[in-house]
Amino acid sequence: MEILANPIFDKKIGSYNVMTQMNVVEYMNLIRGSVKKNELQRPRVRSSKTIYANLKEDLKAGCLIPPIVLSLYSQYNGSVEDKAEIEKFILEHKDQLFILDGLQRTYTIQDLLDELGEEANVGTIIRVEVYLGLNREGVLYRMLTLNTGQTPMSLRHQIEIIYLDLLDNRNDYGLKFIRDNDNKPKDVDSFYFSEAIDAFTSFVSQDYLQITREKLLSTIESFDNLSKLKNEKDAFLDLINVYSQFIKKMNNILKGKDIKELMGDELREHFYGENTLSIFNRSQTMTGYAAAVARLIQDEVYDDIKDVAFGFDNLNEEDVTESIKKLLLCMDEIRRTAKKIGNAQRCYFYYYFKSLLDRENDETYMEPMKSVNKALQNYRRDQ
Amino acid sequence: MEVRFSFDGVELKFEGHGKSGGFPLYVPDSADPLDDDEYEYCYLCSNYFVAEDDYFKVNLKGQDGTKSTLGWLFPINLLKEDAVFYQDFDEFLLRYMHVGIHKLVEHSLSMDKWALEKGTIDDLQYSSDLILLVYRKKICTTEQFQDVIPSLFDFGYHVVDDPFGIDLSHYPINPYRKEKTVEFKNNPAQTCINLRSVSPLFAGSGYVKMLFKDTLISQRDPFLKYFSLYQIVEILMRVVYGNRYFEYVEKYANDDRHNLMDKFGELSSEAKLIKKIYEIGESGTEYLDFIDSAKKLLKKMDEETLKEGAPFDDYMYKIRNLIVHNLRIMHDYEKEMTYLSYMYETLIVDLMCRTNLKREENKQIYVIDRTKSRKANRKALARVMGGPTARK
Repeated sequence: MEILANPIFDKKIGSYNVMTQMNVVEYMNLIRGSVKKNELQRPRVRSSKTIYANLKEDLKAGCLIPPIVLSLYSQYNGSVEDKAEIEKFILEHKDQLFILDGLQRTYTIQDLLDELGEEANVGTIIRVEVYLGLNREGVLYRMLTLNTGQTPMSLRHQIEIIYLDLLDNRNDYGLKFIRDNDNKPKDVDSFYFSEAIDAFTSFVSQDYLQITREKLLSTIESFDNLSKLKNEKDAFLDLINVYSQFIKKMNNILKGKDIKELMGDELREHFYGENTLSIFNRSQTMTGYAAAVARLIQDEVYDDIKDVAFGFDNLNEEDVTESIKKLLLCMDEIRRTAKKIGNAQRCYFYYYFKSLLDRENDETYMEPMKSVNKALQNYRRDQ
Repeated sequence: MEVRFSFDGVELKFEGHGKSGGFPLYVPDSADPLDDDEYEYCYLCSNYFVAEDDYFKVNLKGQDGTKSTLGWLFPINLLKEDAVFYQDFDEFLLRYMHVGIHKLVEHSLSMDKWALEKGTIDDLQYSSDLILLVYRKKICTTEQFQDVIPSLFDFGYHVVDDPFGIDLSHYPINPYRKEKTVEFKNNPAQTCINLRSVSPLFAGSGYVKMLFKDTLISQRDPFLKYFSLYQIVEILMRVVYGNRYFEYVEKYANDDRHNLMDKFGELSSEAKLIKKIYEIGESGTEYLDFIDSAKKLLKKMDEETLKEGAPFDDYMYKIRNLIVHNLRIMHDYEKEMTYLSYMYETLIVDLMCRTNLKREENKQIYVIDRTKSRKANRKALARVMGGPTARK
């Protein structure tokens, strides 16, 4: 590896960019471990065989391919003028490398080396840019801005990368996040990672609808600096933790009640949910909640997400059972008439939580029945 | 080009047409999935069935009353829900939905529409108003499907060519059909859509194709709409005329001259030809609705009313005659005619599906050309009648 010039500091994402060049064998030795390790890197694109076959031929012929862009989470604290130290730093932390741009090219290089074996032409040189000390938010930002290629990464994929560490590691609140296909049951404090991500993106964008690539990019761009987004990592846990407390509260009130039986003849089939968890621990309800909390913070009803939970002790518990019955009837109406049921449900829950959690509204604050009715009224107005 | 799919219960991944991608999908798959190759699909939209919950099993009803499952019809929005949503879904519907998703991905990729933006099924770029009908080729080939389109139209579904840019405002709302749709949706026993094929007499008809694809959609003038529909009766009148004509010619030797003249005279009576067409009788309350509305119109116009108990075809023909002969007066009753012409759509589709008329085949006639020799006429006759028997 050869460091070509002094690193350039990217002020937007607060990271040094180092331009290097190396031969393909060196490159593969550098990156191989991290490609295998990172479960979120995309699989190889087989259908683009022709394009990548051409690329392989180009590589054999000594053609210079566009630079591959890598990132390294660890912060570099050494001298920016000491190229040897930078090189040593990269090699020592190579397991943390992440390919921001050039994954398919990497697969092609791998193919080439597998094909040629010992005879590989180590003289084939490629250029590699490395961002040093790029945090997850910076990775996301760079991905969104770089990722305009032939086979871009999905938005969900990109958002998941930021919060990936929450999936397997413990957190202060004791919340658990599970993968959709883990087949583990949800609970009052166990959430599908993807649904929690949905909820948080609704919080960030203040919109209960699914976030779009453009919307996220503009949201991120609107931050004065990316460290602000970094703080949102705590907001993610706060948001879900407050919600977890809400579910616990509802669960205690409804415990032992058979919702299907409660509904009697009023509703016989197509229940939105049959218990607290299936009603509240799902994407539509959570995104509605998250967007409502974001709106209440924007309206300065709350300064901090954590404050939302303080009101749960004042919940009108006597109304909860009846309100759930009414809520399920509203959900049935939505199911029968809405053009997009999921979005309509998100809209309804946005209004529901906005009414229920708005401590400046004496009429509906912590009044579940009134909130259910208000939500229906607002939902119908919007349709 | 073939598209390859893989599904882990959470995400559908695909590769083909030089692209690869995926999106979250929670429609449960089956251990015994359907074979995509055995199914065909059709893009639809509707002004009447706009809710995501408007998904139906579709049967194809034969003229003998037998029913076969043709497939399932569902809005594209139904594919966008979470796992909990599909818990009570019919197992067959779920299988059809998977075939549908595959067809959608294949088509979007082949049209170079797919673009990764949201990381959801919306990236296929289909209109959110799109409705997909997935049907069994074994029951109905793509060619035969053309014969089902009038029946689909009568249910309120339009076949669309561009599934990426549907504009529902392009399609007029038929108030009569809207009433029927509400009735259908409020009836819990109505869980299926029963389609019918039109008679083979209309198979491949360019006019029929144009009628249900364009004319009835773009034509807002009720008088012209009525006439456009009446052309179907004209087509059938022509069939009756042809069949009768050859019948008389074939038996002319056994008839006396005057009787034959009377018989030929009958052929020029439209009313009598229509009577023959409507020997199949009236079926359903729609005919009574039409008669009631026609009676009201006649009364309002101070027109001579038909005798009590007069059948539908009498009213239908009377209205036709009024338009032809009294259009200048009829224009004052445009509102009533609008409703009648919309009702007439349903009744014409019913006629097209129920008619038991068949075109008599292999009936030929040769008219002697006196300017030619006897021998030349004999040769020409042999050609018409086909073969040596004619030369005897």
